[in-house]
Amino acid sequence: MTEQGTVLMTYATARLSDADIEALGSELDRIRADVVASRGERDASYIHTVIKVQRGLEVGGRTLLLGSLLPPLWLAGTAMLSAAKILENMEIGHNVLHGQWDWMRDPEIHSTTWEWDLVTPAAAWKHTHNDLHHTWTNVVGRDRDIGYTIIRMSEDQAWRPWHLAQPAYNLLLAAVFEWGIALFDLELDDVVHGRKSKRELFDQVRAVLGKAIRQAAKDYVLFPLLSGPSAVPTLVANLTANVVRNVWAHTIIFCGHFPDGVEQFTVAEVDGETRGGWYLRQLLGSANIDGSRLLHVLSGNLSHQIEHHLFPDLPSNRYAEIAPQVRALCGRFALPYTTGPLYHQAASAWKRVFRMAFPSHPRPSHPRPSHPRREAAAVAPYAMA
Amino acid sequence: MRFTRSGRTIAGDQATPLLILGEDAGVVMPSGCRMGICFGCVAPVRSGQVRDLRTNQVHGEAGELIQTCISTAATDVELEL
Repeated sequence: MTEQGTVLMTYATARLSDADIEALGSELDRIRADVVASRGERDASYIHTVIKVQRGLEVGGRTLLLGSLLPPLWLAGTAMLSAAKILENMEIGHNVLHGQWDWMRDPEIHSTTWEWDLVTPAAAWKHTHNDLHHTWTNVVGRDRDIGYTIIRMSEDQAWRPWHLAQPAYNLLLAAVFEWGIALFDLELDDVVHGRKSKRELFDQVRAVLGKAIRQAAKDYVLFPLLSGPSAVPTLVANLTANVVRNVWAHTIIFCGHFPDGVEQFTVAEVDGETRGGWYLRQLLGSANIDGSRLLHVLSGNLSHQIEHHLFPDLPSNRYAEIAPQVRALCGRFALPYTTGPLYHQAASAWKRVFRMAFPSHPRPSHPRPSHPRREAAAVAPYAMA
Repeated sequence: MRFTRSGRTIAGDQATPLLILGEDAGVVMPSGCRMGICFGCVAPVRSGQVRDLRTNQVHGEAGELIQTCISTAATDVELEL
């Protein structure tokens, strides 16, 4: 509905005028500027501590596993190694690769140099995640994270008979998630549709294979062999740790954009999107998880998915600090702030997996006046005046 | 501004993103989201200062990695691309 002199943007859960959207954007820019201005020693100390703890857990875990024939050592070693992998991938790897710590100019803790303990190479993941997912967040038809091309997670995604099996294969995906991500990051659908050459795919496959071989050699050959008589239990332990990390990561990630209350968008709806509009979509398209500080760290602060999507490159330790301000803004602008305990959010996401396994009708599209097309090369809509 | 590895020197204004200036000059410029969130466009500065188009902040040191999609030249700039 258009009022004279004003355009109303109507997403399912928000009715904001253009002026309101820009005001929201300015407020969020201010929160961002405050964090950027105050980044310093305290933050650097945080990431250095997390890295130290992670390395301690990994060294300790792998050392215990040298005697993994003994069940207590197997259990303790596997638990420590699982925690180490979770910390490395989530609170450290994901956030470092987002550039959250680039401001320190540390050559090792940097988005351009960090390589993580995961099958998918950092470079491949940065493209599909930092670029594509964070730009096109929750836009059906553009954000491939909506179901990762194999799971139907939107009424606007066409139903196919194999989706009936998606609860089962999503469970399987959870167990082998790092392999799923590696395959996903190859963007095979781009090759099928002629958007990527076979030559480029070949180079990327070579990179993944190289990484996979190094990962497998480390976890399934080197450390088992170093364990001598405990070789087989160590191999099983390392496999278990990888599966634990996979299932945990899958669970946390599914809580990010799939629980009830999260909004999805069409390509038409984001045509002409301004910076304020991008902020609004990130906020409406993300969900948090309530929990303890331990949950926040173990989830890589993806428990603050909303804050992360608003500010993907701000240090993760700051998300909990700015969350009250973001929540207050939601109150002021009458916007939803989707959150809940872990079991509730995970159950909600899984309910959607089951619901979307069956055919359903597309949701009614939101009538929205058209905006002038954003030029492909222009940064102008996102620049401050 | 000068692209040291490609050997191109161009005259650019102080409002256009360096990414666009480089692309228009035929330099191979890495890019990603083109909106400053993905760090897919970072390039090292050899000399000069840049201005962040989002915040108007001016910065730049030799060796600093800047995001070309949201930076414009504040002074004469040399980029190692």
